Amino acid sequence: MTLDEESRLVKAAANGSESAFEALVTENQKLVYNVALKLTGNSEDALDVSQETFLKAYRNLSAFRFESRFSAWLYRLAYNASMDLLKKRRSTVSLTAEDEEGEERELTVADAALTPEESLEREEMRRAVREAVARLPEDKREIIVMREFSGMSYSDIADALGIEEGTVKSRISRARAALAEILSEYGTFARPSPSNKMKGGKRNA
Amino acid sequence: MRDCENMRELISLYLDGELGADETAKIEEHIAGCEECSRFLRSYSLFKDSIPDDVEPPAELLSGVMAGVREINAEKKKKKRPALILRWTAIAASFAIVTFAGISLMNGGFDAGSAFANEAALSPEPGAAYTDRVTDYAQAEDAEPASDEIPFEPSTVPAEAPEIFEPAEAAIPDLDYAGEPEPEPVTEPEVPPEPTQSKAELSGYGTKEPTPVPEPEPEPEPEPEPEPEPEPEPEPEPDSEPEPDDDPIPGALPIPGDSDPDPDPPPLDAGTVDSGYYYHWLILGYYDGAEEKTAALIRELGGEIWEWNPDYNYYAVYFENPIEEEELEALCEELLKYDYIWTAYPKDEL
Repeated sequence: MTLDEESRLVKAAANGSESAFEALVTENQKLVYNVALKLTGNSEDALDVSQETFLKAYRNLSAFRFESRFSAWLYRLAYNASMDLLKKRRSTVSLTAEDEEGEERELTVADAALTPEESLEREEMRRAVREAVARLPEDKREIIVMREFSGMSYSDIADALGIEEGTVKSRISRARAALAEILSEYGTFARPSPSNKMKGGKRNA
Repeated sequence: MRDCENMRELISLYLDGELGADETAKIEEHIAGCEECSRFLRSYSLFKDSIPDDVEPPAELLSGVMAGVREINAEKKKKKRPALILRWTAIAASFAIVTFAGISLMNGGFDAGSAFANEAALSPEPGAAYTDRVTDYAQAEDAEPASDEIPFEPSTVPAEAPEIFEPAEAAIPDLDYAGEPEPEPVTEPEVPPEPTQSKAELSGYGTKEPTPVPEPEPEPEPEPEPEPEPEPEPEPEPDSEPEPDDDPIPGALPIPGDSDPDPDPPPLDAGTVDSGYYYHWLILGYYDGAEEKTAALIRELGGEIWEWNPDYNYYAVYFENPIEEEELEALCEELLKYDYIWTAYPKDEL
């Protein structure tokens, strides 16, 4: 969809055209659904978040200023809604190993070819990845999600965030380093280490 | 890791296939000889492999959204013209009354006599009873919102009367009596502005949510909007803690050396036992937006913040008084119970 087509549809939808909005949903639903799915980890939540995202967009169409692509705006809504949901979940559910077993497993076609042990391991890894990403600071998290989860190009990310492409590159690099540090909690790396070397010790006499 | 820091961005570009042939060769050579960077690459590949492929969204997504859209539009229409709807109701009712009475008279299916008698009692001219009644209703509706309440003698209305009104209402175009649309299941935090507006908050730490768009109704963050329908809170939020949006600006957060009330900070150059303090180090990792809470918690426990690293969202904490190893472990366990703390562990040295 070209920018012009998109703008026309948004304007029509803002004026009450349901079919124009339907076209926008059809165009963007895969993007929205998949970011929600990758962040929340299950299809039920992804569906809820996606519907919520589109309905919120519909209710606020008049607030859209055409300064960026409509799809980028939708993406942001979906991302925020997913993170909000994760935050709520975190407050009410304790993430112990036992709880995780009861959770729905998001099996893809590829998973079906794995043994139960491998499948469990993969699901564990996916959960660890989601957790690690959730633990990143906001600015790093967003860019990692855009790049790694949604596969957006540097220029798309630059457009979506309103920054230079060079900034995208350096930010992604720092975000990856931070993510690696956090992933180390799962045994892949050494733990995050503060910068100054200080030894614990006793008070001098 | 420190030696490879200048390599970091190149490696990142390498991961994305953004390097030219020469640079790629250079990086690959470095990686082959560098333990840390190989480890990083291996782990990062694991991470990438575990991200599932994109899937097609289910059909319910589109159908659910469009159903919601139709509800929203219906709600809008209903809100727009309540007076008109009520007037239509009155007229519909009037029509129905006339029709009903007319049919019944024709069929002789009910006690026309009593109906007439009652009408006559209200109007001095029996012949004009119906016409007057219709006019009276129409005028009465202007005065009071009677919705589907018909000022009709209950005794003259057989049990079937309510059913008669429904078809009449349905025949009137432009009305939707499908009932109250479901209260919106979502809370209404502010809508994020265009990404270009968010530039400011992305460049700094600590600002979590975009600022509210000025155009729509002023929305308090992040409570749900006061909807006209009675809507209970979707989740019982144990909200003694402020949402990330309420967090103060990063400048207000404790940074070692900045807001340290202690006039005598531990000597930084000391790396030995002669430092004059007991050091017990804790690494406390927290989720985004919880810097303040975590810092407050640390102080509560008698700890001091040594280092704050916003890159990874953690504090390095020290305690001046002696603490046993087991006590420290127990403390960590306690800390992990807080939902905004994702890691807490003692460290022998930083």
